Amino acid sequence: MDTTVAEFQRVDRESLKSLIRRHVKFGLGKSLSRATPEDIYLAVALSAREIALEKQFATQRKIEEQDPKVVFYLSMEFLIGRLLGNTLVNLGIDEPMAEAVRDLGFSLDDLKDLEIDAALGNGGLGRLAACFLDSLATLGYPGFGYGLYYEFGLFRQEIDNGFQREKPDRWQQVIMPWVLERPEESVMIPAYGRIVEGLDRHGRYNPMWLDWKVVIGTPHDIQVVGYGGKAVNLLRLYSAEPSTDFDMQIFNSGDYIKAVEQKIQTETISKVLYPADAVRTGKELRLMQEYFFVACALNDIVKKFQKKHSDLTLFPQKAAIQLNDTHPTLAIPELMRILIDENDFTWEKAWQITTETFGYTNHTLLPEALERWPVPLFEEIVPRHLQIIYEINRRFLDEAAVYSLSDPDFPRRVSIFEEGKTKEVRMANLAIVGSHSVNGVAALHSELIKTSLVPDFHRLWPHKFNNKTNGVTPRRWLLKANPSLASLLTRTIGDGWITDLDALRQIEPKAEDAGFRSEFLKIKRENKVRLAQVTKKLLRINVDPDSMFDIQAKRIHEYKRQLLDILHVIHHYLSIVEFGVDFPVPKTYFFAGKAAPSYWTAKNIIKLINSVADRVNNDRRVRDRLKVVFLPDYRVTLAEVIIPACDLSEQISTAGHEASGTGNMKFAMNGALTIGTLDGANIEIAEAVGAGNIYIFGKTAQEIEEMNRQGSYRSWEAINACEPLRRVLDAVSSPLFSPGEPGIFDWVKKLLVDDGDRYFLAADFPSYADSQIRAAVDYQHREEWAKKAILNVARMGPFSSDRTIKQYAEEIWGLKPLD
Amino acid sequence: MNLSFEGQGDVVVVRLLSSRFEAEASDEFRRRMTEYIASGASHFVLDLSAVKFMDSGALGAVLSVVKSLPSTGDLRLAAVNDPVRTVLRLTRIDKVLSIFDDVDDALRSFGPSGG
Repeated sequence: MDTTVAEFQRVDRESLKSLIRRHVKFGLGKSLSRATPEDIYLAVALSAREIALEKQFATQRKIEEQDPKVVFYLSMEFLIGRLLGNTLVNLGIDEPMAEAVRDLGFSLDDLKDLEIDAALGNGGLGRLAACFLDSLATLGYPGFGYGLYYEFGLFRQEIDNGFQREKPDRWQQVIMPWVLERPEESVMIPAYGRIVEGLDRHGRYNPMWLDWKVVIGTPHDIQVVGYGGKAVNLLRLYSAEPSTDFDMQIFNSGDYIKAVEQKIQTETISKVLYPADAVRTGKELRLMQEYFFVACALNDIVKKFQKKHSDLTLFPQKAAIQLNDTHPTLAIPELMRILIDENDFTWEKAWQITTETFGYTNHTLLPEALERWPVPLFEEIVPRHLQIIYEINRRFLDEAAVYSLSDPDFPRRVSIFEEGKTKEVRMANLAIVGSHSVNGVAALHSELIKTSLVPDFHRLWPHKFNNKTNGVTPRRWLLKANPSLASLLTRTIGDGWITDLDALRQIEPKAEDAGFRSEFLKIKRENKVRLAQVTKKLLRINVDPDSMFDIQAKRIHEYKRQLLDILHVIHHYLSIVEFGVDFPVPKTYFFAGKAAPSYWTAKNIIKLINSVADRVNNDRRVRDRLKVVFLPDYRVTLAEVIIPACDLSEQISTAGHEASGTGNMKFAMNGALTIGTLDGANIEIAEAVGAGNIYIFGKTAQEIEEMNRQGSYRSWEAINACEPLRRVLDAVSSPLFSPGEPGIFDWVKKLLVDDGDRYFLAADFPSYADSQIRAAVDYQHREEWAKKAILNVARMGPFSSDRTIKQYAEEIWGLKPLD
Repeated sequence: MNLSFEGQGDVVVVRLLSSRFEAEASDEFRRRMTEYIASGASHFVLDLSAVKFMDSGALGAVLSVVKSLPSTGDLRLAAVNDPVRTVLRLTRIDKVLSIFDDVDDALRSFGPSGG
């Protein structure tokens, strides 16, 4: 007999089997004997969704009854990755489900591999948003994510002759059992048009928005299952649909081409995720995306509020809205518009409500990465919002006028508008002015926001600025990604660490326990074997799992300095082949990461890495001592294989450039030692794990800033003073790594010598190389290495996203968990 | 034909018969209204009960008709469905036009003599 969830007393192997059978039979219309692995995958996912739905309804009931304050997390990116494994783990049914699937003649691990990896983000920022949703639900906080339902996620990366090639990621082509479309909750969003200033029926000023086009936003809900099933929240992603019925247009007007074009234009809004670094000013579609998604979100949030409350002055008591970077900043004028235009609030009251509602998280210190939009584009797409922003700015500058007496340039610096050939809107300034909280994502980063990025705003409102060091969810990055280590930890100290990562402290004494170390090393080796197998499968390269796995996996960017890493690899190679000086241990250097399609240097760094790999891996003189691997198409699923296998984690950004980093936390949590600069959260990681358990090198942020300020850095002097680096650069310019492609790496010397080495590679190269030697020397003594690695795991408690979310909840949002 | 006109005392009730009030209907609306206004009518109720979608062209037509009315005249909306009401609200056009729950209320608002 088939079973429904309501009939479950407990979810066990037999009941799950019955549930899967029911989904195969009635959901997919097949008999079990004819079901393919894809069918079983779907049936398993639908079964898990059904179980989660019961918990979702329970969470919704609690929200109804308790009427708590709710947080809404607005982000252009949610890098959620595959959901099946994580959902089963969080529902606590991973094991019985594996047994049930096995009984039906399939393997759960194989089924998990059939799932598409939804790449709805570029990297850290999007993955952070996904980790935060996991923590919110696990801790029982009422919280919803809002974003865009991109048809194409981040591109799929393929490597062709060493170069990155971008292929479309059509993730929606496959049936997504996790997504529930909610057309009945669609919203209408006006855009474009013009403002006509006139009077209302009572003779008051009334700007009317005319000649707009309407786009329909349709929500798609994805469940976010908290660990232990305490709460199931939702991630709501919007797709854009044309407002007019396409077919009717064709028949009514007969203008088929125009109708098709309009449809394409509208649907394009949610078509594609922009790669990071490709988003500069002037991209109309990107601005439309940002506006569309926040307008949908705000519409939905206010509607939800108004279902229970008639008085919008209570809004900040019931809703907190967090802006993940500046991309959703239009939410501020949008809420103002809703309050003033649709609900007749005075400006003063509307502003009070708005600023009490919003918090803004800054993610970058690179001035060129701060969003700016040309005013004419705003005028075209969101004319009413532009008016509101002008008024926000006028009132803000009035308030700030007191400072301009002693500092006449003050208003120009803090203004939301930047005057110039084309006037621009500074989104960060708008976000700061319109929020009650502005936070950075690591201690150093938050300090630099105050002292370097926006010191004027800090002078105005010191109370707004605070730090929330990022974190990662241990459910995804330890429990799921590294089940063997997770099991060892649970056997040793119980499973409390899964929701209280500080509990890992209890394994500290085990660093001195030879038996524990032996098990720990055995697990690390198994994970390395797994990565070696993946490497073999993807690239046909054999790597030795007993070599030291040195890994840099992250988005490719000059400030993250993959170039420094590969230059050091070349140094390692030349030392062996030219001088016969080898490292104490064999090493395998792994790289993984995507470059923005328009980022020339980043793409050529990938080419250089692959060319070095070709040379090194085919040179018999270094066989068994040195390998170089570039793993294509880095994404959450691949990260889950790479990270647990790492011995040495490369976190080597130029100090003062990486806001926080979260990869650094994931690697350390899985027992890798970090080689890194004093940048982002590396500093806090170093404090937590202890100086003896991490390899810190390089100039500090202060030193870099000083050199920049004084213009005292001479890269060619640094290169001349470093014989190994000179040799490396000569080799890069020679045909050694570019046979048949002469001169293709001449840009490296140009970047480091002629262009002044903006990211201080030459300055840091000697200390980096020294640290590499230190790490390799230490790695010879595996027992000692294991002690350090175990201490890294034990001391990662502060880097759980649960800690971060608790801080956001208590210090910014004023949020309490559901009872 | 997308429109019907019906005299109720001094007031003309204009009914949209299609669920979509868009380009084609708005041209007809503007043309027919101009004729009625030229013939001396100045009080109108626009019955939108059938309309589920209204584009900005149609709203523009309504506003231009309102503008062309004599100062003693008015056009009042009746039976506006939720999606249309939302659009009117978020573009602030609801502050310019009077909106009533149904045609009877709108007619009553003109008073017994239609003024």
